[in-house]
Amino acid sequence: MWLRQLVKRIVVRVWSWIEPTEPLPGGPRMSRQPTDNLMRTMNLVMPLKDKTAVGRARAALVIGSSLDEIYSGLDNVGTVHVARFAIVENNLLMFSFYDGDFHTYIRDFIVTLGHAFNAVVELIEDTPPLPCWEHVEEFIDWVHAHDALQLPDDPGGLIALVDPDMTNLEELSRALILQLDRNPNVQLGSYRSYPGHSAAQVREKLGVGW
Amino acid sequence: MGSEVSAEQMLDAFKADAPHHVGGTRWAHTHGVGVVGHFVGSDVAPRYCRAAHFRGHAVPVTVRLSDGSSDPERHDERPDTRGLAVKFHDPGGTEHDLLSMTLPVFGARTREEFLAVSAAFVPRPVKEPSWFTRNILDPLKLEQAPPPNPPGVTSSGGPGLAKYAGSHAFTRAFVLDAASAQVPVSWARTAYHAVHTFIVVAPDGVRRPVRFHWQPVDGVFPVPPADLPKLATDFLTTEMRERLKHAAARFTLRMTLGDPGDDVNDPTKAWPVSRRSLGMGVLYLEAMAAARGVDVERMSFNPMRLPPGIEPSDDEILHARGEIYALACEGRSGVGCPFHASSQTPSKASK
Repeated sequence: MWLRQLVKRIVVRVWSWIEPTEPLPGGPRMSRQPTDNLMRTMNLVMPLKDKTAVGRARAALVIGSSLDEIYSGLDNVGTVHVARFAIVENNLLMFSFYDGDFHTYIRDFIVTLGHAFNAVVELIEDTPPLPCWEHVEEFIDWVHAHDALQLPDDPGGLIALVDPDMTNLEELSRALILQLDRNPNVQLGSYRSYPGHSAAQVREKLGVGW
Repeated sequence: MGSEVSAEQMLDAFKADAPHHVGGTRWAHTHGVGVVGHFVGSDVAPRYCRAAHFRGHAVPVTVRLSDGSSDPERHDERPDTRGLAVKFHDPGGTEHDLLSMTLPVFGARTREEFLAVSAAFVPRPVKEPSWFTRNILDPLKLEQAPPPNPPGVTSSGGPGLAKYAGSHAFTRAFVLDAASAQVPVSWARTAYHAVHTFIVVAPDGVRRPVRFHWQPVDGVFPVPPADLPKLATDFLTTEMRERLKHAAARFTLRMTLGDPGDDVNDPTKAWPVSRRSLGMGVLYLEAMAAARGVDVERMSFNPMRLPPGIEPSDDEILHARGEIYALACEGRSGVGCPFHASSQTPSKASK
């Protein structure tokens, strides 16, 4: 088994040298169609500086002590359906479903919970310039760089994304392997129980007085 | 549409893909089973479509569940595209046939492409890749070997179609989806897609482009690969017969609404999962059709047999399939063909 793993690593390195592959950007792709701009997904993968249990505990305490600020901030952003934090393998994860433009979302984010997020990103490798509200564009770029690549749900979309110039179907697996070599964190699918509806519409229909 | 390719030419091209066809049977989805039951529209369905079977009361249905293969020998145990054809018997005598399959897309956009795809799919002798190719050469090239052929398969159109798809982008999703087909534990444990876009007309006259999908209430469940060798060649029929002795098999009908800008005439492209989707009702499969004296094998299902309230899009393949199915039905003396007396003409029924 270990030998097979070693061979795979070597073969992937050789192919990445033969066929250099640019990492595709993460986050949602451009779309002009209305429902593509609703319930978009963000999958922030943020490697902790301190990869010991001490570092993980510190991250847990920072998030835990900021939850009031985070929850009220997300309430005020108004376009977020769901957001959650987790620590997986020394990465702090923030996954969310939100409506509208990514840049607008992050700007709202900075305005409403910038203080809490400052404390969070201080724990992360490659920390952006802080405070985030004084470096808005850099912070948006930093978040975008940590937002995982989103693979399309359908095979046609997958090919169009990872190997648009394909001439042989067998090349797909190589293109996918080389892309995932550069982009190890990816979103593979995202279920929506009420696709095509905004958080505001859901709240209004539920009559929860927003 | 302007194409000079006739339905006869398309059917002939398809016939070349089924060299062992037995007269009197279907050219595709040759093996299947008939069941009967009813459909009940949801509360929201009549707001979006004025077709009679979406008004909330129970509507009788006749259904054919099938394997996609045209192999004269039945092979339920092999990976294949499964089919679910539902005939709604609307009050007042009109009918609606909703044909769906386990693949979410079709393999061609035009009649010409259909001919080319059919030509690429003509079965040819298959040569098993050597141990060296599978274990050394392919991994060195970072290529994923195609799924192995099931035991006993000596010829296949798959490799030819895969090669064709390499240089023809429109059919790639279809080929990849087909190559990853699994064997469901039951015809009632897999999802089906009607692939074409239809135009539904609401009571207020609003016309919307939509696509229909059936989702099994019991959930999707494929047979684990290790269990495949244990399956009988007709296990899906046996399973359905046993299942219906205990309870109805149920599916929910989902209707996805197209966004402005979605290509409504291209069945080779899936719409994104972010599109609005409505629950239009529940299908109940209750009894084997043979037990009720209904001969589903002779019955015609046609994707262009549409009731008032549902219209075809301008999808060229949808219209062509309507003609091909009618021709093929005539060839096997099926019931419900437009060329036979007391049958409903699909194209007229859609108006």
